[in-house]
Amino acid sequence: MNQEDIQQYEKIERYLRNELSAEELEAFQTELLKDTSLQENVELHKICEEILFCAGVAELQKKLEHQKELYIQKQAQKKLWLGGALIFVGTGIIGSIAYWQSIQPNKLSKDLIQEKAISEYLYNATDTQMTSPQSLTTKREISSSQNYNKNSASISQQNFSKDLFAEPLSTESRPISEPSITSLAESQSTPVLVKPDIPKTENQSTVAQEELTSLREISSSENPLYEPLKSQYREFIFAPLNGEYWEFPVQQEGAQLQIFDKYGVLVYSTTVTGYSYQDRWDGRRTNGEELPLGVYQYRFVLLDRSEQIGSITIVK
Amino acid sequence: MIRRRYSDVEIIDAIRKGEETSGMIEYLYNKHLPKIVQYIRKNNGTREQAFDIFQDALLSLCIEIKKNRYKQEYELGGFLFQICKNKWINEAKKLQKMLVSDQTPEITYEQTALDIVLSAEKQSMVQQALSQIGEKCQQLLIYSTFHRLSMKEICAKMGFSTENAAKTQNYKCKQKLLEVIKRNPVLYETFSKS
Repeated sequence: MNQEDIQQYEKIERYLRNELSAEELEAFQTELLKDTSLQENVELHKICEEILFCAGVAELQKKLEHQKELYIQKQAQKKLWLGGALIFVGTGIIGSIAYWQSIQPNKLSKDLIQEKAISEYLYNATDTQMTSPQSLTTKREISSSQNYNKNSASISQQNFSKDLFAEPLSTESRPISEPSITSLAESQSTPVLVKPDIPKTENQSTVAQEELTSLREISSSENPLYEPLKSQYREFIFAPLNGEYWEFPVQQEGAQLQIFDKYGVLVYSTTVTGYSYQDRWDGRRTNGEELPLGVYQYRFVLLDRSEQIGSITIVK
Repeated sequence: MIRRRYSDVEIIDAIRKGEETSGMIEYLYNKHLPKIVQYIRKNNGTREQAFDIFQDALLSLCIEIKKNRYKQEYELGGFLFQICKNKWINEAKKLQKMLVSDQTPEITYEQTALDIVLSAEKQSMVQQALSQIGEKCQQLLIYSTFHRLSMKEICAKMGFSTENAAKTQNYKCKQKLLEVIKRNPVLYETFSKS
């Protein structure tokens, strides 16, 4: 390669890059107008630059494309992270809520168990108190009926049966149950009415006593002192705040209902009407005040003066 | 993760020298893309379209800088946004035309520099031409002509011992390419027109 070519090449390069000084540029342009080979050379150089520019742009484009993909990937990763974090936080919150809710009922139930234990204890205490006057009244009845026996030969069917039944019972101070009385009365009624002789009645009475002892044995083996009460003792639970009602388990019209709180204070009392929309309790006092959560004792006094008792628990 | 912040001047200088790092481009993405996505979505575009448009805009920015048409007074974000806006308007017009008549989509919008430079036909021609001069020459010429690096910088990048060696190598490569162009009239034709 000769020196001239290199010089020309450098000049063309500088011309294309606008690096020539004003004088040089003028000289070059005048030369360019004259020399066609130079024109061609410049044109070639231009094309050369153009091609290289294209190549450079292509390279750049590749680079940018790659960068874009990277960016999209990063965005997706960010989203993943965000999603993961959200899930994590969400489960944390839900978990803590669930934990709280699992704790609170436990507390409540513990309280309730304690309250129940107390109320049961109270109930037992009152029950023993209540039985003693009952036994007293039966004793009185017995004494009066015994007097009656001495005074009058003709004994009324009911008194007779009651007397017979009450005598052995009174020694053990057991409350009288109605069905046994009536059954006894039925079995006894005919012979007594037909032949009211004294020796016969004595016979009858021994027979009756035998029957009674057998009855008593059955009743004592099957129903010891508090057993009937405890089996009748029913427990209910309801949430009046949720609009629930406690439907009375007793539908007998005219039965009396009393509800006591844990201190034994009467908080509600009503008479059973026999209509289901009235025979229910909404967890309020008789005057309409809301009662706190807790265990309450209820007592139904039926028409035959027997009682049904149990507890009613108000929950949230 | 600590992200470096770059000033506009820094970025433009880097692009001019062809030394833009992936960190810089990521920074541009993080800083300017959200606005553009918002704009394009407001104007019936999708997120993916916004990404494409932004990438084209970045390329346009690079070309503008390479061609020395980018002025230092421009605000980079505003410039990018303006390019994206114009591109999206063109795109929308194109799409509308396509919807109206599928047969011959008339190109009425102004073709951008990018469209002219990067038609697939030209691209393949360039590839073919450059493949004839060897990979090293190709790289060297791109450094010297496209990125306008000084011989000193090329020495450092390509591993030449002296500046002179790089210079002569560059001259030789240039001559090779000129020969290729001379021998290829089709190439000559297509590029002399533009």
